[in-house]
Amino acid sequence: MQADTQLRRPRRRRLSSSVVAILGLIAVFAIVSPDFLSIENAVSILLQSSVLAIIAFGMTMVIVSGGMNLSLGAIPGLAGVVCAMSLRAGAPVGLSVVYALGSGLVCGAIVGFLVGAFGMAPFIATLGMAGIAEGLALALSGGGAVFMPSDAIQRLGSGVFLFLPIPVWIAAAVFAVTLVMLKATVYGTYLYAVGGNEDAARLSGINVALVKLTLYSLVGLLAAVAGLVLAGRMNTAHPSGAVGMEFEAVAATVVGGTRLGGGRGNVTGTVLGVLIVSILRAGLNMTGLPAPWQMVILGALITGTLVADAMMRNRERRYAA
Amino acid sequence: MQCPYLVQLKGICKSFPGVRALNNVDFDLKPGEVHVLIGENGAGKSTLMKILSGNYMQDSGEIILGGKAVTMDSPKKAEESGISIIHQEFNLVPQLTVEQNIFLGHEPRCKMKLFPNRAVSRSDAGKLLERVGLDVGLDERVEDLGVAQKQLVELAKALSLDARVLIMDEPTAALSSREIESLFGIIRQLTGEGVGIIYISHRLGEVHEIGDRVTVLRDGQGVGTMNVADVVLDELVRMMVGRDLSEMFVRSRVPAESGRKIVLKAERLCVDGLLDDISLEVREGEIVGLAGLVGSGRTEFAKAVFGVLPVSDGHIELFGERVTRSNPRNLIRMGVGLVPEDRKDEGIIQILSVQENITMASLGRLFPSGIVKSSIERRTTQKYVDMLRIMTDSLGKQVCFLSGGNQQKVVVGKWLCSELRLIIFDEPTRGVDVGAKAEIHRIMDDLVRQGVSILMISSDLPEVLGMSDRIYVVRSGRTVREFARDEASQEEIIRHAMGGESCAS
Repeated sequence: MQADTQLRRPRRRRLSSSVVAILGLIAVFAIVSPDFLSIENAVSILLQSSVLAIIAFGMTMVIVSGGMNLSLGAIPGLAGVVCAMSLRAGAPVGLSVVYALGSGLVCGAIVGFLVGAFGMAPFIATLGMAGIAEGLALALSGGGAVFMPSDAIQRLGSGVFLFLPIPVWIAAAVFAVTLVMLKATVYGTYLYAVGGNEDAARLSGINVALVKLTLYSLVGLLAAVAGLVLAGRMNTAHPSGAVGMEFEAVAATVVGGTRLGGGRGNVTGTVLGVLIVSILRAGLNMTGLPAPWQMVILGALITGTLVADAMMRNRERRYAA
Repeated sequence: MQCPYLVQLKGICKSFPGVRALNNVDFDLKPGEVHVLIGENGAGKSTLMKILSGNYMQDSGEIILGGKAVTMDSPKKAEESGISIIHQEFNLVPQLTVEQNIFLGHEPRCKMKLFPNRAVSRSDAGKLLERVGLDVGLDERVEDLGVAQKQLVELAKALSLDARVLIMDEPTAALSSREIESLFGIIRQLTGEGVGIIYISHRLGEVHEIGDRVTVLRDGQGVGTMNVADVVLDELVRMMVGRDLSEMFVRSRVPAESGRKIVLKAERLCVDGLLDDISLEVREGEIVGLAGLVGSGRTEFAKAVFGVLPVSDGHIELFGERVTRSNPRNLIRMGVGLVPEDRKDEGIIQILSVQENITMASLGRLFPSGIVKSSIERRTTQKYVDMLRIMTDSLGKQVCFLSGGNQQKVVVGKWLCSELRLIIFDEPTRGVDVGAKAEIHRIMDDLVRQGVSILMISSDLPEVLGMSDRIYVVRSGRTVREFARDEASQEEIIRHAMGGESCAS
């Protein structure tokens, strides 16, 4: 049967344009501040981007499934505080880590249950969870930062292994796991299917509620991992330490070519998106621009990418009509 | 000896709020046959098939598979019983590949269950594509395929489940004649393997070409089942129509003055992939009916006039002026309103009150200063509530608590309130009860007497015949025939809408 001569669907931006953007940013900052092009600076950017990367990989999976998760900036703070408080209460490191990861898993599972079983909008459910998690973290810590009395956790955040900081290795491991999950497993296919056409997925016999429950639980767990890395790097658990990072994660995901609304995207693009956000942040820092103006520029970048995504989707919709 | 039937449906009844969709319908299917199911829009074909495929539960009646009565309570259950349905709207995930779509939900897996067994799924998918005669790469994304190819992917998906009963809902609606030929070839091959096929169609010509038996549904009832060899097309047409016209609202006819102004004129209007030459005229004080099958392009025409769909060729004139920039805002300002088919999604805002809905499109006209005076708003709303006899206990009542007929009147009220000169009604009385229907017809009659013009899209043939001054029939995005009121009959309209002119001559 011959293919009918339809217009082709507008193509998504390719990864190569992200690479060009990164090289462009590096070039600009290298000219503005000569120190930018050094090994130390490169390593420090990688280190700083690792927490965001772990969160963004989870965010990518959520967005691929057609969802959204605004609690990913609050859960790290809670996990860090839980770990620190547990250590201070005398629990061994291993158990404290389990508590911390468990707190993320439970937060995620609750959201997953609300979204999967009750059909609650992910935006709302996770916004609520963000408030709950941050509030709990503040309540547990008494409102301030808590010292992390454990060498092991500190090493997790600032140790070095094979020339690279351990957080970078952890981020790389999370990348590998999520990459394989999305690309090679049946479960990954289901995430794309649910994000692409939820009705078709359901009619194909996929248990959509279970897929979502598992997804949000797993992503909550990843956010807790990010929280431990962050607390280790700072030596202290900040209850609101990663708040706001959920938006950076969304931006990194969308910059990386994942489509808001679901069905398309991958974590490889997200790596590049994270690098763009982190290089921009580090570079702006080195230019000596006041912090508030840095926020304005980052905010503009995030808004800009979301606008670009919305325009892309409008074009797709017009094509589909 | 085994039961000679794959499927038997006995005495199936199904009601939806306000509508009796199926009334005591019998249907059966033998192995290796193509059983065609025909009927007008809304005759109950899709509902019957949704019951068989586990999407709806029947209120009463039996489903018997291979001699055993079963409860078909989920699509999964139907799938396990070997019943597959190929939906009219594709149930594929556009972003996934052909291979992933075929096995979605039942992937062959490796021993660990976590990873798909790509070797098995690749070779199986290859065989399935060969069987349905589709020549595309397994890794091609479904969104990049053409309509016919998507259809074949659906078919391959159904076959991958070892379906013994295959339900095809208008499989040829979007295919070219060559593609239809090859689809029929595949169907014959499948029936040769003992698969039973239930074939829903709107195209009368196909009944003889592919069918073994045919069942006609009308208004939710089975009119008859026959061997295709024993029936001629004219007989099928007669069985499909034949509703009583006497209970219809009778329009007051004003003798047509010659030289009435043309209000809406469409000339060779095209929309890529949807409309392909729609030409028509609506004159002042006229009701023009637009008949045709669902999907023939009637609603799309209304949307193109309203600027929701982009016009690719041809043009529209309104009130003698050529429209260059059409968007809903401009059109409302020019005095054109659309009462959409999908009133729940596009016509009213459910959670707002009757008052807010009625004045929504005319706030700018009523209150040029931008400040809403509630006394004026209330008085205006009351006027239309009285005029249209909208049954509501207060103006502040949320529209979602009104009945379907009253909701429809609210939509009409919204447009009356904005003082329109042309109203496009899309299925004005679908899903409303008989009383409300007559009421809406009375309102339309009143409107044209006041000089408003109406373009009425309707699948309800008695309504089209009873209300229209002139009728256009649309088929596959083209206006194929124009009738004056007294030339038209249900048979003639159906014939043109379904493309069975051959039997008219």
